[in-house]
Amino acid sequence: MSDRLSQLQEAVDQLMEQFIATYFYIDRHHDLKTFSPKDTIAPSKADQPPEVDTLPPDVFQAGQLELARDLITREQQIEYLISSLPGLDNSEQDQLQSIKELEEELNVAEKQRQEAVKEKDEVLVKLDQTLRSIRRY
Amino acid sequence: MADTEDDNSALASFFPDPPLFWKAFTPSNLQAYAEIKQQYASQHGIPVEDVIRVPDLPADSDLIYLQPPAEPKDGTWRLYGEPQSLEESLQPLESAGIERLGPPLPGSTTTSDTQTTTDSQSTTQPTTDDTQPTSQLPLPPPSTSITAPATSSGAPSTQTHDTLHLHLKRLSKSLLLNFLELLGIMSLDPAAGSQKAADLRTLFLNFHHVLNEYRPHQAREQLIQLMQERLDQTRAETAANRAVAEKARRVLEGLGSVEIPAVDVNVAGAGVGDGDGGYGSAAVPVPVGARTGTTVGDRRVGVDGEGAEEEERRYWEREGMGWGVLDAEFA
Repeated sequence: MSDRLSQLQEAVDQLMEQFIATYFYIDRHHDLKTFSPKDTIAPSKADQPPEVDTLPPDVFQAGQLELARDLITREQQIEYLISSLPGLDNSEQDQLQSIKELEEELNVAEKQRQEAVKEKDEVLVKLDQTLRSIRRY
Repeated sequence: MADTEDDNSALASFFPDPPLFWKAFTPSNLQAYAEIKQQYASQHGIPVEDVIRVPDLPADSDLIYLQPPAEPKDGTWRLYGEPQSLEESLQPLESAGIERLGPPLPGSTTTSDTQTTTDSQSTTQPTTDDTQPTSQLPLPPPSTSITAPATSSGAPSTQTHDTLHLHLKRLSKSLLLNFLELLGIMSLDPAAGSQKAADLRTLFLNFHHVLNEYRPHQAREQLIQLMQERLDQTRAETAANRAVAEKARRVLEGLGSVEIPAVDVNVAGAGVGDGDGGYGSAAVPVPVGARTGTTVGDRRVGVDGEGAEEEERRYWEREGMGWGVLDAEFA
């Protein structure tokens, strides 16, 4: 799980890939039209692969719809990621300030922790001694 | 130039020859170099593994081939004809020949009048009627309004990134719209599509660039988050330790306040004897009166006379009280 910024970058790259995929889908599967009634669509030559692989209109429509939906979903993902980027309200100075404060607090907390551990150990020893002396009765 | 022929043959051979200095890696040289390295390390008080390079090796000896060359003095070198730099810095968009859309991020010193560049671009490049009104979409009117505050405030380090959201969202919306336009143009006039594709490219590059500019900020933000987590963790640990210590101390105090009946010497002797057997079973308090003198826990105790029975009873009373206090404390 990468940070949000990397996720955002990946999402943008995926959006670009989706653009390309969508473009090629339409480019590949669209139908052919004539400009005037006199035009005819030349039958593709047998020895060459056809330029377009025309899909039935309903299938093509459904495909377009799906791709468009995917694009919108990706866009929404991107916008969500953008709005969840952390710390946009902080300036660099704020950040440095809070890093410094946190560092001091960490030092203090670490000292307190060590004291607490020591205290606990002492009490433990005491308790141990007491229990032993109780047992001896 | 006597080597020209050799060079030619070297170039013509299927595999390139090994570098000329391969002969320098003899066992004796390697050992000599290891000794020099050791010496250098002990002189400077650093571990041998940390010595990457020993400066001031005699230049005429083969030993200089045994270590990597020094860093380039000016910080730049060429690799496969490409200039490389020791300093990794983010290249400004402008110097990469990509127009910048929107305001520069706070902290970056580059400023560009994007409005004029697009205008000149759209006038110099022939565009179809379809594309002209929309080719400037990346620069909607609001973009000038965010440029104004960004450039007017003086100290970059105190600036916040609150306009970034808006800018990024604008860019991403522009991406979608431009793609739609691209498809529209391609369906009408495929030859005119290249400019729209170029617009898309600019938009994508801008998006990534803005994100990259935001990286250092993100890194600091993450550091803050990590430190905060660590701080919370440490504090929680301290509190837990204190709580346990406090509890144990209360138990001790509770034990101290238990009144232990005076024990005469006889009883003490019997108590010690019974202690081993009674230790485990005493944790379950048994009404003192219910106990008979003959059975203590699982163990039979030989009891003779009323006095011994009385001792027994008093012992269990004591023990029961002590453990009762303990049970209460740990409940």
